[in-house]
Amino acid sequence: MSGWRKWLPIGVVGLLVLATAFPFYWAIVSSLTPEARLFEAPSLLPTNLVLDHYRALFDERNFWIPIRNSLVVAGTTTVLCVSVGALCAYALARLDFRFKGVVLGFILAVTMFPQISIVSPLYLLLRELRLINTYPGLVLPYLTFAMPLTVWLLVGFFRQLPRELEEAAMVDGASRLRAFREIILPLALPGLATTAILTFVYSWNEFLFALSFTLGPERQTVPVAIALFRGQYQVPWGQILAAAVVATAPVAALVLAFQRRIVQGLTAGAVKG
Amino acid sequence: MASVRLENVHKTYPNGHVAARGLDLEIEDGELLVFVGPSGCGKSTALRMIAGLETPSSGRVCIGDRECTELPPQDRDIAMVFQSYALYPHKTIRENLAFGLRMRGTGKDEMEQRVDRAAGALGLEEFLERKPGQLSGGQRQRVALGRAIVREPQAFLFDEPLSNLDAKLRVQTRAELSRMHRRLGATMVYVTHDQEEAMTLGTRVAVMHEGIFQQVAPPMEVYRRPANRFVGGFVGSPAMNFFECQLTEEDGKPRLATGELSVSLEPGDWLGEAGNAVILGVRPHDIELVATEVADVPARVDVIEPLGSEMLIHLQVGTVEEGQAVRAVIPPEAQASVDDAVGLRFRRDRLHIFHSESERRLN
Repeated sequence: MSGWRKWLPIGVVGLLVLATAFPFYWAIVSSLTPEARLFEAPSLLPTNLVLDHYRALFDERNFWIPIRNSLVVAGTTTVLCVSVGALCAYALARLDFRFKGVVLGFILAVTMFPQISIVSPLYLLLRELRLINTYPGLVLPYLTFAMPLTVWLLVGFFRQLPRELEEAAMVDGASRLRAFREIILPLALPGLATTAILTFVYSWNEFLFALSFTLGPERQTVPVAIALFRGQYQVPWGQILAAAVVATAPVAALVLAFQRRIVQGLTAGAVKG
Repeated sequence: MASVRLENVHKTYPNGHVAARGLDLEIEDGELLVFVGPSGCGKSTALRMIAGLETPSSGRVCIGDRECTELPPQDRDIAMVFQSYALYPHKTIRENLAFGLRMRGTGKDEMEQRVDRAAGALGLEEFLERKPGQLSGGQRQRVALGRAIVREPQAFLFDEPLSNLDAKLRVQTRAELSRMHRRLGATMVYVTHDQEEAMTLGTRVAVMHEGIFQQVAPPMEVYRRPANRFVGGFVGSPAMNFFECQLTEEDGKPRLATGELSVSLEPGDWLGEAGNAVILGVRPHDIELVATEVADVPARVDVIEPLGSEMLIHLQVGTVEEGQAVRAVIPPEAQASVDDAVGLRFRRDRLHIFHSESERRLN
C-alpha cells in the first residue's frame, strides 16, 4: 500500500475530529481567559488562564439555580419517560390488542407538530392549570415530545428480543410483568440507556418551551439562563462560555459513561449476538 | 406427574389460519407421546395450547384432574424445552436452572440441592457459573433440559428440541431423552417433524395433518397399519409407493389392477364391490425383484443407490409419460443394473389398501 493511501483515512478522520472538537476547545480556552484579553488577537495556545468567569458565574449570577432547575426537569422527564415508555412500548411490541397500528401512528403523529406552533396553545393550557413557572409545567410538555421517540425506539428494541425468552419465563412460573422485569428489561438495557440519554439531552437543551413557560430566574433552566446573560450594553462572552462549559459537562459525562451501551443500542440487531 | 387431556380442541388464528380442528386425545400418566407431522400441520400449536402459550378457540385442555383451558402458563406446573432453547442470556447457568424454582418460591437449600442434582445428572457442574453465550450448542441443549428437570413438573413439553443439533449429537441426545423418560417416569409430549425421531422416542405417536390427528398409536402399529393414505406416506423412509387401482374379481378371488399391474388377493380379503377404485400402498422394503413371469408388475431399473446395508433402486413402471416411479429397497447382493427389465412382487401380508376418496384404510 502506498503512503498516501495509508494516511488518507487517518488524515480525514483527524480533520473531522478537529472540526468537531475545536469549538469546545475554544469555548474552554475562552472561558478561562480574562475578559480584557478576549478581544485581543486570539492565540491558539492560551497563556494567562484564570477562573474569573467561573467565579462570577456562581458568585454573582447564582448559576446553581438554573443547573438545579435543569437537573430536576431533565431528570424527572427522563425517569418518567423511560419507565412509562418502556411499559407502553412492551405492550405495543408484544400484546395483541385492537388498533395497535393506529396507536403507534398516533404516537408518531404527535411529534410532527412544529414546536413553535403549539407554544401559544400550550401556554394557555398551562396557565389554566396554574403550571406556568413550575417544574411540572416543563416536564409535561417535554414528556409529550420525548415519549413518542422513546416508545418508537423501545418498540423496535423489544421486538428484536426473541419471544421464546418470555414464553420460557412464563412456563417457568413468572407472570407477564415478572418476565418483563426479570428477562426483558435486563436484555433491553442498551436500548433503555440510549433512550434515557436522548431524552435527557433533549430536555437539558430545550430552549423554546423553557423560555416561554418560565417567568423568573427561580425556575429558569440552563439554556434560558445563558441566553438572558446578555445585558443592554454588553455581552459577557467569558461568562457565557463558562456557563456553556458547565452546562455541557454533565451531558458529556453521561454520554461517555454510557458510550458503549449507546453504541450497542444504536447498532443492535445489525448483527446477531 | 399427571395425564394430559385434549377435548375437541379447535384453534383459529386471528389471520384466519386454522391450526386445530377438533383435537381429542388422552395422554396417559408417564407416557411419552410424540406429535409428528409436516410443517404447518398444527403440532406446535397443539403443544403450545397444552403449555398455555396459546388459548384454544373452543374445547378443553386438562392437566391431571384440573381443567386449565384458560389458565396462564405460569399456573399450569409444566416445563417446556424450546427449539431455540430460550436460555436467559444475561443469567448464569446456575441462575437459569434455578429460575423456575425461584419463581415458585422454593426454599434456598432445596433449590441449591435440586440445581446441583440436575447439573450432576446432565454433566453441567463445571459450567454452572458461565453464561449461555459461552457454551456450545449441545451444552446449551442440556441446560434447557436441566431447566425443565429441576422443576419436577406435572408434564414435560418438548418443541423440536433436537433440531438445532448436528446429526451425531441428535442421535446421542435422543437416546438420552429416552433414558430420562424411563428414569423419571414422566409424562412427556414431544413435537417433531422428523418421523424417525417420532418412531424411536414415542410410546405412542400422534400423526398430525391439517389440524387433526390422523392416527394415534404405538410406533410399530403406525408403521404396520397406517390408518389412512397420509399416515402411510408420511411414516417410513423411503416413502411408501402408491398405485391407483380398480378392484376386480377373477376366479372368485379379489384382484387389484391398473395398467400392467395385477395383484391377486386371498378370497377373504374382500374390500368392497368389484369395480370400486382403491389405492394400493406398498413400502419399498416390501418389494422383491423377481422374474417377469411371476411378477405383480413389470418395471425398468432407472437409478441404483447402494447404501451399504441395502440398496435403494428407483424403477419405472409403464412408460415415462403414463407410468409412475416406484422405489424399492432390496438386499445389497441382489443383481440389478440400470435399464434392466425386472419384475416386482409385493409381499402379500404387507399390502396397504386405502379407499380412493376417503383415503381410509380398507384392509
